[in-house]
Amino acid sequence: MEPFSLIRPRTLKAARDRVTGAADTRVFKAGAIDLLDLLKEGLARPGELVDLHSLQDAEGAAMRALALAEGRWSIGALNTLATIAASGLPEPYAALKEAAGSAATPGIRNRATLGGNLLQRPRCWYFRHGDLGCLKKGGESCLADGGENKYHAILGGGPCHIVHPSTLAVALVALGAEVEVVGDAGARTIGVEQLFALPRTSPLTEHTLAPGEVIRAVRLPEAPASQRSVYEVAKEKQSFDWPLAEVAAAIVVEGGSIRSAQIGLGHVAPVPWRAVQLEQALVGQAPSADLFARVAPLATQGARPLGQNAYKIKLTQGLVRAALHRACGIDVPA
Amino acid sequence: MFGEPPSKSGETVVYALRLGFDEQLKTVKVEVPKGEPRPWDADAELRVVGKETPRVDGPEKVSGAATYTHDVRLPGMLHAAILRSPHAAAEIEHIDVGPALKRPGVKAAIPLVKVGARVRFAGADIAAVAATSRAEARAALAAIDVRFRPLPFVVDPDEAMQPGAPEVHQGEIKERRTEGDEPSEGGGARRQGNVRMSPSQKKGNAAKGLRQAKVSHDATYTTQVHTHAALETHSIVVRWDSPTSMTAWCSTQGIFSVRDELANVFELRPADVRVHTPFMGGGFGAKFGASAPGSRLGFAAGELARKAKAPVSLLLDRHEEHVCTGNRPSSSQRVSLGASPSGALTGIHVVAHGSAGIATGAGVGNNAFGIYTRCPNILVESRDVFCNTGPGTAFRAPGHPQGGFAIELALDELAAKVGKDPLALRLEHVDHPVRRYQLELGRERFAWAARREAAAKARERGARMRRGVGVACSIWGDYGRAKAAHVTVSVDRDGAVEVRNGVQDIGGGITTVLGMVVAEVLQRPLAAVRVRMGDSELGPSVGSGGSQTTSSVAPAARNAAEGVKAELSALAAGLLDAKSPAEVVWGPDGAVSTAGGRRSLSFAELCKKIPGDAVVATATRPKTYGHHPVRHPGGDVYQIAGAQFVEVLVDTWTGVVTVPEILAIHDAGRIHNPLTCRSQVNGGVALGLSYALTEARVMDRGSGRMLNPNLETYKIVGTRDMPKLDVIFTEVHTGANSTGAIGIGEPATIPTAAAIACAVFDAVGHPVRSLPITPDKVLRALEGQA
Amino acid sequence: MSDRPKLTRRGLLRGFGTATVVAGCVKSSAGDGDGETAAPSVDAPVDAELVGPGPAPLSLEINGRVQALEVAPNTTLLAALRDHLDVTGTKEVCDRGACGACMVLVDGAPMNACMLLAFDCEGRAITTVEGLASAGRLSPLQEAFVAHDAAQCGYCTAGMLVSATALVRGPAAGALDRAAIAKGMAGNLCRCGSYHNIIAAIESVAGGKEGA
Repeated sequence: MEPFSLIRPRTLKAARDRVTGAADTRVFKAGAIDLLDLLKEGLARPGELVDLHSLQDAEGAAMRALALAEGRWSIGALNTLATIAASGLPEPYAALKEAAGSAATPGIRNRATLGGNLLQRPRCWYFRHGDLGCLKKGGESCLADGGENKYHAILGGGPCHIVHPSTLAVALVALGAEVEVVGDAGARTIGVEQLFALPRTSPLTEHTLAPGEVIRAVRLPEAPASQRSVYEVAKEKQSFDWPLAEVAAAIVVEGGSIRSAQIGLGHVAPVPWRAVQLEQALVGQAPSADLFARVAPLATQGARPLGQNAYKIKLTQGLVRAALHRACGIDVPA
Repeated sequence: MFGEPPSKSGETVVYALRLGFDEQLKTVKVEVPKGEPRPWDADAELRVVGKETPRVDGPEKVSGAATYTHDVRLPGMLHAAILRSPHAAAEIEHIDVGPALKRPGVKAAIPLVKVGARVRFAGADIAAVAATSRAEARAALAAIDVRFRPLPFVVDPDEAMQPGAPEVHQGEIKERRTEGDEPSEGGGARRQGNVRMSPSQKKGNAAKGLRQAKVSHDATYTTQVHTHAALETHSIVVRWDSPTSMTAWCSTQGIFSVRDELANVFELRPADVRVHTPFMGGGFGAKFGASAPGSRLGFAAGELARKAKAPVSLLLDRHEEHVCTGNRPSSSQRVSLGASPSGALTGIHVVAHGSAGIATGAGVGNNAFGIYTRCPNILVESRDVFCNTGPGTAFRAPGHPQGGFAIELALDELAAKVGKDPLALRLEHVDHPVRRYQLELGRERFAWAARREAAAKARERGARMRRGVGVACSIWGDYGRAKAAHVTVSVDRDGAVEVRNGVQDIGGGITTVLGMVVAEVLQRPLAAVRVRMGDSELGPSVGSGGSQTTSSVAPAARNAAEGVKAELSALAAGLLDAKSPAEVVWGPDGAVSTAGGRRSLSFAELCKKIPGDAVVATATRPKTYGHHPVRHPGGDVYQIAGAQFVEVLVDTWTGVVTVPEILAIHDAGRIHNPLTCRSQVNGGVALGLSYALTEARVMDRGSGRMLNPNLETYKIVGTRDMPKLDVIFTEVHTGANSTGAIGIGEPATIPTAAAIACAVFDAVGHPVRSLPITPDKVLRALEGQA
Repeated sequence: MSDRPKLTRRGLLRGFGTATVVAGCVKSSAGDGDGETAAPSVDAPVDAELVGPGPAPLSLEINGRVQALEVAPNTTLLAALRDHLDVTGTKEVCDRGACGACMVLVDGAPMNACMLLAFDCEGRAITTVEGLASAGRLSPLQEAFVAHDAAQCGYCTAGMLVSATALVRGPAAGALDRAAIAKGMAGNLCRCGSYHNIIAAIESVAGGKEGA
């Protein structure tokens, strides 16, 4: 790791002022899990790390809070994955707790934060290899295209084919969460999907935040008590592994038919992916194994696999079926 | 107690021993060299050996007090780092380490290549630096002035075999063999392009056997490159004690191979090189010698220490550990089987191409040749395919997990073709009585038939979650070495018992077994025996490879302890006025008495009478006495058997395979310490499971670089991947040496991946003929594509 | 320690909240290679603390003992333990948080010491494997690891014990079945494959008979 200074601001304003205008050399730091990974591999060489854990103002308190505010759950960006997984978030938001408890390892979950999870850089092995230049690092081409791309995107890819690594984001997409961002013009709120950008518009970064902007909290919308939300994931290794694909679904069934369905897909696209066509096909239908089998292919509509990742189409459809079965409480025939 | 008296003939003594296993015991006459004690056989009544015994060094390991090479801290010690080639193939046009010497903290820098030299893989040594901290040493590497002329390279074995592929080697290829390699292996030297022939294993006429077949099966099976990934990376600390002597601490599985390499490289007498390995963090075959297979660590550390006039610590990082310290070679095996309509094998022909990168040794072991011996015609041909990747080296049962995967899955496919139960097909072709016993035992204990039936039903109704079962066999030889380990046992006047040998403990538990054997012979509690090991000055010993540690060291320890005991008996005879030492009886508490117990001395009283300071004896063991009941192919040693039964659970919606249960049945001669022996089986199964399902080195064909040189995308299984695991030992009394020890390290990992592959075939109905069995491949197999 | 000359490397950055001074800071960042110059002379309300980039004093509470050291901000807790304090029971294996060999307890929670900056551990109680025994007596979990042969080469053992200690002391300790133990230990790799015995050892202690 190159040398750097550590700044411990007391207020969010002081922290933001330090970074704004100097985002090339100064970066925010929270749990620093992804940041340390980047620093060790020489992929980031900031001169200063501006700590967000040191904030002592009201903004800092908001970033650490996990509470009901004005009828809606607000989860501060500094909450760890472990805290979220063990939190008292009610049943309709179970997908988020499941996702938070599934990501990474127990040790990492004790340190990694919600904000860091949403803004972490991709795990693409070409990007992460300190000696290989690629599109995302300002190089000429995507090395995964025509290279080793088993773990890469089947949807929304090109010219860079990363998958977004945030597991929490997948659940948040399904739950319709909003993100509170603090910037020069004060706070603004965006839908979680608006936090992320496809490589065709933003090859070098994965998010839409301006330099110096900070995620303060994520807010969950009110949900009917009957909403069931689930998170399903497939991994090559069951102990700790990055997902091959993951699905989060939030479903409300009323009077024997699906009143609302929101479905997020992860590790299949450069952003957390919303399966809109699938959602539309589900609404108004009576939940059944046959329905789920019939509509699951809509999740991957428009997929354009690379040389080694076509399997993700079937796999994602399988996860969608599994998620729908669980969310609707319908057993899979043995 | 001693059965019939020994008959003597010149230099040897013949004992009638009870040998065999379970109820298949018989009296066998075994000829042993004179001076050897009567070997422990099935009738031997032992008090310590054979009992579950926690490791004597356990408290040090669990308290953090155990000192590994990474933990060595010496006054004035410097830290080294190595600059490695970013190119898979290149010629060195210019190299100057001078600029690195000007960097902060740097005390020495040396080139490891010359101008004009060729670099053959990304990760090869270029230069080394020693500095006052690791960070400074790493940072200084960037200052080394080196210019490469990149050359064409090839990292994919299929591409390497194409005409016109870049040639990895020019001229002769030097073969590197270690104590981790199976003794019978050995290569030829014919090379065509990047392909080099190895000797074949032949029996009968395979071509004819295949022609006669009414049913045949022909398919290609591939396996990945598997890196050892020991948790402690390759590491060495070197301190020069004088211009002609040095002390080294090394994370090694062969202390004496480290000594010999350092002596050779620095032109020292071996006796002037002292090597310490009190603890080491795993090896699995990659840690022999002072260097790694693809990196001259011993030379670099020693030369830097000499130049800097200070001790130097050289610890590889995880990336280096993956790319330049060895691996299990890949394989692509074309398996042709011929059989009668009822499944009687008429021929087996295996043609294996494997890549050990720039090195040799990609054979596929004895599985296809040595297990299903009732097949009359067998031909196994192995070829090395050179690539510009890090060198392969011995890896826990070299060749066998690859070979086992191919032949066992091929057999299951044949069994399906002829409509036969795969376990029945195996039993029809196995001669080894222990192996037959194990297969039959497993069939019953694992409820084989019921599980097979349930799997078939789930398959037929297209269930989402499908279970499947598989079985595969192990084969290995008793490679305990003669006259290699010299163990010393001493008893002091104050009654202190000590056993000394230079052996390292790779984690198998030899430290504890040494103490147990001596405690057994001298009738002392284990806690009263001090074990000293891990130091080349404590007497020659073997490397921990080839499953030979216990069988080489434990008999030597017994023989030394018997020497001490004989001397103490003679002393006691005098003190107790016995007519001869033979009249002295040893009690379970170490007390000695004359027949009838008329007069006796406690152990402490006896020791007080020792003339001088101590009674000391050093002993080794001779070559194996024999190979009862079955000989290993290509040698005069016993053939070790084993069988593993696996149940898998396949999620057909996602292709994810998990393993709920494994039953491992193994033979390891006399089990000296069942607790640690079972741990080795647990470990062999875990390694095999990881090989079967998750691990693979991924090379980028464009850059020639490894894409997953970490423990994140190089995937080693963890707690949640582990099955319910049952281990059964089939204790076999072989009469091979004085304690009956035989190895277990390698046999335990051989059949796991094969059995998992067979179980996946059972669950899915289509084979996955490529390791690792990842969801992408399972989903393809579910669509009927192999 | 406050009168040591090197303390200037870790100064309080003052007036950092005002626009004019922020501009100054941004400008000076080009020459930020040396932390000696990092403390501006403006005397204003304290809004931030600056450490580094060179070595700066730090005190860490390790196994109940406060230890003073001087490290640069880019030093991980793992490096501080092993290379600066010679506390070597905690092992470096992957250096990326993927193997768990360097697990330590931070205020009772298990974390990967390789993925923690030493400066982030100021004021927090660090427990390493060396701190699990008390008064020279192994903890019940350590005893169980020996009895169940949960360590072969022993290189993963420190991390395993730390993760396991957190489990058996944690809120779910009463409900630890094998599956829960496996989940809690999922971030710890053992290359010798001792998982079976590791889980058995933890289960024997989690059975509730004794505290960890």
